[in-house]
Amino acid sequence: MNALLRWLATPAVLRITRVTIGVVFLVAALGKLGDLAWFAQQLHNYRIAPSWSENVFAIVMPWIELLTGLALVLGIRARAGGAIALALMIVFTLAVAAAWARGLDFRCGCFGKIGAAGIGARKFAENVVLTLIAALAVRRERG
Amino acid sequence: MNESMPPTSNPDRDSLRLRHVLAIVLVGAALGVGFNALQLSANPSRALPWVKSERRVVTLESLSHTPLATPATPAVTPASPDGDSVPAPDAAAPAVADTAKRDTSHVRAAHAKGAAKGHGKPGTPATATTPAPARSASAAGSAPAASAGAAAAAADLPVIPDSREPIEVSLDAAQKFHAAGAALFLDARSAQDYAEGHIAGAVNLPFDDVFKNPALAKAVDAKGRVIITYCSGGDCDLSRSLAFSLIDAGFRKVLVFTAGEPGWVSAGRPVHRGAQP
Repeated sequence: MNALLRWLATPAVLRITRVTIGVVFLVAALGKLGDLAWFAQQLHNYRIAPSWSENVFAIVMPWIELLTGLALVLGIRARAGGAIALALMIVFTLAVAAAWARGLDFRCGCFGKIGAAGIGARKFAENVVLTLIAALAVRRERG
Repeated sequence: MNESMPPTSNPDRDSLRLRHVLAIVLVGAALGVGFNALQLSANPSRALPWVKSERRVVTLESLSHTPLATPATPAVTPASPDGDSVPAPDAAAPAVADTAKRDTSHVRAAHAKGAAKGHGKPGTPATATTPAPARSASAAGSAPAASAGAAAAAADLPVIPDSREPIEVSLDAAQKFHAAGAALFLDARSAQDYAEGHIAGAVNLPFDDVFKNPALAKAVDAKGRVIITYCSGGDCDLSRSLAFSLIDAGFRKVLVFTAGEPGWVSAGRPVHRGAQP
């Protein structure tokens, strides 16, 4: 187990996890920025945030995702980027889980209109895997 | 874990990282706000309003001057209680099915009887008995009966203004449009849900399909009628989403029947099963 953890913290593996989650965030950000109104509508479908605040999230969130993705992919402030990615992935996963549990039927909006998948077990599993990758990306490098 | 590893919490490095996190979040937020501000000044249609105004739910009741509290049974609208109303049952009779003709004769008999007894004004007995054929027609549920109901209900239909917002309608209004055949009902649910039971005559147009291919919304032929979308009622948003797609496609009289299929079923309105309308 220790060996595995140490291997996961080697610079090469860390780089791969960071670039992976970084690319996911970049694609998600660009997809949302492509049609903000649509993203705002999807955000509304989750019925989590108060209605008046939905646009603020829709305006700000894709840009934070974009910077986070850039930080991870370029390796600039990568650990900070990893921390944001992890925090966002936890929030996203909880949001998907809540929507799934309530039986809400809509497209997730995760990537904007790019490959908008429905809410359900598959989307939830995807999010859990991405959260785990983000958890790895936030680790400190060990030689 | 491993004692040889450096302690995981290094105050200096952690506070540094926290600052980096804050920097990314703040710069991201600033970019978002700046970008939206630019969009707002250049092209308001592509920008989002800062604070989302709670979308006023446009309901038919709030738009229409036609009172919707009138009974849902497609009764022949009684004309003025003068002599004009006397021909009303006869006018309705040709459209009524053979099964209902007996009732029409009852009406005539009652009319004659009433006239013979000289109760009230000449027109009064006819007005009083007018609902009889209409009731039996709706009870029979046959196609000709429906057309009789349609003729009657058409006069009772609420006026739908052109709107870029979907207009929510209640069961009562949906029933009127259904009885009059004055609306194209679109079932926004999946083909599977549709096959398990849908509003009689409704056409299946799953929002998922329209979402993938917006041209499907443009291809809808409402034949000049209003469009009423519905899904599973309650939290279901498919009908509303489909309604927006239809409005984007150029339709201007798009209604959303919010109670959806469950509301229709529990009201005992006609339901069909299978893949056909």
